[in-house]
Amino acid sequence: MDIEIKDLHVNIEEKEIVKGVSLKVGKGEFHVIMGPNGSGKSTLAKAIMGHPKLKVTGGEILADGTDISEMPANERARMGIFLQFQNPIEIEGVGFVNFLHTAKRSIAQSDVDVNQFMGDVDSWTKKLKITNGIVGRSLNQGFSGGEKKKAEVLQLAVLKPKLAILDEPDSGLDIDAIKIVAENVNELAQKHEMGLIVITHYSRILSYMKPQFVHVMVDGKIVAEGREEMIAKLEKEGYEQFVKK
Amino acid sequence: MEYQSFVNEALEKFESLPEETDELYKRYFVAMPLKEMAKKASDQKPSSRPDKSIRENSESLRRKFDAILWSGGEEVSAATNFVSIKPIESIVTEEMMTSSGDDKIAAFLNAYSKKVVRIDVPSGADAKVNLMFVNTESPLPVQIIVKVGENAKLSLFEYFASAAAEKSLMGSLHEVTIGKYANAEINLVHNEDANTYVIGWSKAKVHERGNLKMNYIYNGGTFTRARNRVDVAGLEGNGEVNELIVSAGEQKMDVASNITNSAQSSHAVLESKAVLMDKSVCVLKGYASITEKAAQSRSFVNERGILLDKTAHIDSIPSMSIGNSDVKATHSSATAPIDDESVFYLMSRGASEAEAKKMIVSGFITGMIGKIDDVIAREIVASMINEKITTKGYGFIPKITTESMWLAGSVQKSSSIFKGHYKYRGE
Repeated sequence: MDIEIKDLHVNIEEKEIVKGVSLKVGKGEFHVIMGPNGSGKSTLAKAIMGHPKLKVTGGEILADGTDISEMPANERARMGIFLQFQNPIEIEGVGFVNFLHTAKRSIAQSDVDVNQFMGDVDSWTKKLKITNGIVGRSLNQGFSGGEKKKAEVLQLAVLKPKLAILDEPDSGLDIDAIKIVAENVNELAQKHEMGLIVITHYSRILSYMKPQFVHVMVDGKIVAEGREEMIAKLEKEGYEQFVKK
Repeated sequence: MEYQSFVNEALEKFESLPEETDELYKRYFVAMPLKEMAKKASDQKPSSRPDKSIRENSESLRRKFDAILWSGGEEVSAATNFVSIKPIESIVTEEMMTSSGDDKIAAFLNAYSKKVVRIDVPSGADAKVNLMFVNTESPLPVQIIVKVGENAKLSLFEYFASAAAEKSLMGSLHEVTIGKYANAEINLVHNEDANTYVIGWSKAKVHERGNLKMNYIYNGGTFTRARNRVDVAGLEGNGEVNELIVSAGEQKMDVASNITNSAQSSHAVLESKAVLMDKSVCVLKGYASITEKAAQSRSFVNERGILLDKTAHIDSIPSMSIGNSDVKATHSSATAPIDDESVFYLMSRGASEAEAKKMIVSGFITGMIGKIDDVIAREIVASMINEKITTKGYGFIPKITTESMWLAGSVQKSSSIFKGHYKYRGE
């Protein structure tokens, strides 16, 4: 899937958060968006996914040439867009596996072979070293921060989208877990030619991943772009240089 | 006391007590048409059973009913050992824990019930009892006396339905006694139609080390007014009250429950969940009382509601009275509209907005349905609620479908629910 964002402006209620972002993510490309807190990164991610509370006031989001900026989130999901939530929502009484099976069927828009599905869940549960039986519990309820993040990657692995947006995939993870998440996301992206947009403050997870493009977002705008070398520069110099005084 | 004196007293109270005046009745200008119903009940003649409705209900519910009562008649299975239906005059009034007091509804039920259903489970026996009540356009007020003897077990399922072509009433007054070391689960499932007013009064007493679980499901009726009370009166007794209210359209629900710990080391829980759609309204009152004698007791009241529409309204009012300092007692209440972030999360995984909302509501109530131990009762309730949250319809026979089965399996781990979903083949 090719995603092209053209001069996107997004408001939360009356306040403009995203102030004219343009970004192109080709099939199988790996982009990173870095920036300080409150720069609009998560809002951009939610806008791409189609959060109903966000108002696109200008610009467009094209997925394979089709403007999806008015499309509801479930239709975007069916097109192959996936958002890993920074704070995955806890939903009481909805079993994780039932939910994931429903999601798989909704996105595939057809029946899903149960044995194959369960096999997939089991295999990725092991790969992600998910212990503590989270697949037998209600959706994200009572999960630790790390379990929630791993459960999001498990969803990503089973749903196999065309474009995955990972919003701070490393927050709440210990050092070992960061490595596990990064390696599994790498494997998935390469195997399925999945486009990736990783949103992060820190370069920690990126030491296990190889992004092709790095974008710096400050105050709702992309203020700098570069290749992998930019990560080291940001790590050294911080975001201060991009923030207007 | 002579029964006729008891009835006369109730009639007098019914006539003299004022109409309900609390917030629900004032704010929404609703009233129980009790005088009209009293007249209809007085004029009631014996009638043959409304065959079609009852046959369809029993077949569709896949249960063999030990007794079926309808307005003006009843039928008791020859196979039952525990159920008898008698004229109301047969009640020894000393058995009745509930006098009308200053409650107009209780007075109505005492004054106009014509039959008493008795469920007597002797000591050591293990009973499963299924009852169906169907009101026609004629009201059906009935009294139900349940006695579970020492060390006995009872699983009781009562299904309340309607075949009413015009304004009518379903009324039930329960007197429940749980003997020492006895165990009982009582499921009262209300699915009356939109012509029917529902009134309920129940009072239960749990003796030493007895266990009682009362599951009240309020799904039907145009206007429900229920008062439920469980008194855990025996040492180390256990009383659990679960209430599930699902309302749509312009349904009104007024449900007040009271749990009392009146013995040492007793345990009482009241848990209520309400789902309100459209312009429906609910007043939910939960009251827990711990008496001075009830040292080392535990009491817990939890009321939660979810509103699917801005026009729905709930008043949730938990309260407690604690007469002993050596106890554990908590109460909580939370009501909120359906969470937009949860809807977005599910939509981002491919669910439509309607599917996402249904999933959230189902998740909210599935724990309550899972508390029903009687598997078939659980499936009936799951199907009925699934229909309600899908179509907003009530008062008709629920179709038991595999689609609703995941609602019924909440106490299991989700992986086993998942398997169960596909294994389900019905009874």
